[in-house]
Amino acid sequence: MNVNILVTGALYSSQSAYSALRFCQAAVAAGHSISQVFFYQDGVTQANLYSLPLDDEFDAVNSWVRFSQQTSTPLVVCVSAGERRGLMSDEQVLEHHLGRNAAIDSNGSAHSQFSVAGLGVLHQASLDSERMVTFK
Amino acid sequence: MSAKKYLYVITKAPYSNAAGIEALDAILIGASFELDVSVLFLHNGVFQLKDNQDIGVKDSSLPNVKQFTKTYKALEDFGVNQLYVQDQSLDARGLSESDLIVPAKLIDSQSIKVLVSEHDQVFTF
Repeated sequence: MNVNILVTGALYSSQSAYSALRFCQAAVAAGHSISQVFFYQDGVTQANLYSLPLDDEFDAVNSWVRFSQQTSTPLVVCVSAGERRGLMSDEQVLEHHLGRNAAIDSNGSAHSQFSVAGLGVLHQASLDSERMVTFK
Repeated sequence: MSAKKYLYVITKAPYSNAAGIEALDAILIGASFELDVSVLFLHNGVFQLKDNQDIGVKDSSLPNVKQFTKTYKALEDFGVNQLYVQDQSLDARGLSESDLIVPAKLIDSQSIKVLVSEHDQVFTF
């Protein structure tokens, strides 16, 4: 079965990343595929490159990156929800002139394993999937 | 092939968080995909449709807050005209059908089960 995942809970303060990741791993192990993981609302914070949990804590951002690399699952952050919360790619930082040195700075806050796209991508993936599962 | 049926469920009150604004964004995208879109207001979500909301937009000394709930009245223009409100959620909050800014069908818990099963996808906010 092809499953589309929607994650809307915040990084660290909610358990949505942990639950969603465990679900994704179990689904893949059972022979299903995850069409994409889409991050919306506070879920966009789970792409934050600058998150530094303590060593003995769950590292959501890097866990998503590893899962994506191992299974070739696309991770997609909503562009509008991200911009509202300061979560941006290098290109967006340049486009909006937000770097400390606008001419050369392009330190986006979104990890490069996450792509930034619109809600249309979420809807297209949900049309192409048999199930959509939301983690709040 | 007939259009796929998408149900958007809003469970949070407006202004305490961005759930309503971000649900509306998703609903409008769904409508642009020419899906058969329904919206269900549940629990504190019924406050999204409360009429006579005054968040002080006319007072220029206050920080500017967008009165986004007006957008619910415009949903019809985007082809979204199936709005549902759970009757128990209204009753429990001392509201009635006449308090709503836009016409919506009152629906009980049993009918919500049917509503959900009739839709291809459900987004909950």
